Amino acid sequence: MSESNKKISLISSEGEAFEVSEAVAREFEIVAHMLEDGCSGSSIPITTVDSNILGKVIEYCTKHVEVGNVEGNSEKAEKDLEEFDKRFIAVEMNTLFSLILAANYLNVKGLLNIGCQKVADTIKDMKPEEVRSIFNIENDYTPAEEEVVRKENEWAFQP
Amino acid sequence: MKRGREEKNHETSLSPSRLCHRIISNRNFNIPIDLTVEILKKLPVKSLVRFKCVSKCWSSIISSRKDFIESIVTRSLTQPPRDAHLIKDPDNGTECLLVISSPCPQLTHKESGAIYNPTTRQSFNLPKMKHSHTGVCFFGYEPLEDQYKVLFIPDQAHEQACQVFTLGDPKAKQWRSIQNIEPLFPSLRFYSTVFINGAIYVFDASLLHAEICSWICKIGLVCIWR
Repeated sequence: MSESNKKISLISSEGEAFEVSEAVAREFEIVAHMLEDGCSGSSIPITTVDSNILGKVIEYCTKHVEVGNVEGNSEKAEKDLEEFDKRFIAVEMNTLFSLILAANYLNVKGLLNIGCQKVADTIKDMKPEEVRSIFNIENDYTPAEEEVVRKENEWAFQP
Repeated sequence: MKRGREEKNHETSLSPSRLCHRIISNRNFNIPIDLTVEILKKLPVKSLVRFKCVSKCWSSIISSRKDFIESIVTRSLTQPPRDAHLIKDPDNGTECLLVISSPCPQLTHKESGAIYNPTTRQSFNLPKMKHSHTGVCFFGYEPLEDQYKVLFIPDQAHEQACQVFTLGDPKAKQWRSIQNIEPLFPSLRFYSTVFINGAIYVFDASLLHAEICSWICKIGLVCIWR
């Protein structure tokens, strides 16, 4: 069985088809499960992810499959992959969140992991107000309540 | 309000199905709670403490969500343990009030002690006992019941029973008396003891006379504490 030659089309929410090898499609665990469950169609609709984000997730998976297939010289390959991940995830916040949501939905664990890490690294020195605005969170504390929480944890606000 | 409800719906592990009705594009992001938790798990403690101010929902994840706290504890256990520090009672230079270390503090008891977490800089005052005597306290983790407990052994064993206090258990707000470890009192009280992985290891004086180099006797806290 030359599984690697088999092509699968992933269809974005806009109906755009992305043709990928089965190995790349299987990086999406959700697709891997479909294939295992006997869903043998050659086109799989990914109706909840738009073309822009789906294209990026495919780019990530393609690179990881490629590097996984290279034999020998693994240390260099691993370093390259790390570099790739770093560049890949250096995107603005909205795209980053979309990638995380898509990685969660499609169950691409590596991407989910580096995405969450990137958000954490970005927000770790921020003030609560900045975090609220990034995460679209409404402040549900009354000013008095917030003051109490702030006082209790004052040390964490010092540089 | 909206977030509060969302929290209830997202209490369990990651499940992609709930996102199905939304289209993921970079114009649309509303991070569900389970993903927020995954992001928070990657933050240093100082940021986490500060982000309790973000919202009540974030504060409740950081302070009380079980899987979140477990993940932070697991992460913290991979760090090298810190040195223990002694905090002395200024009125009584010889008596040590509180010993802290991470992750296993041990404290010597006066009227009522306190436990201090050097990572979150929070301290917790132990409740007073009905009869107060001086004695020794051990603090530790009991893996079978997944609880942190404090064991108090009084100096005057005949006047007061040993006591146990369970942390974080809303049903156990007071010290509980325990029996049957009286034979071990002399060893516990007067010889070196060390707490490792849910058990107290005691230097047992009765074995001094035997020609054995290691005089360590293990007391499983599981049987003491039940």
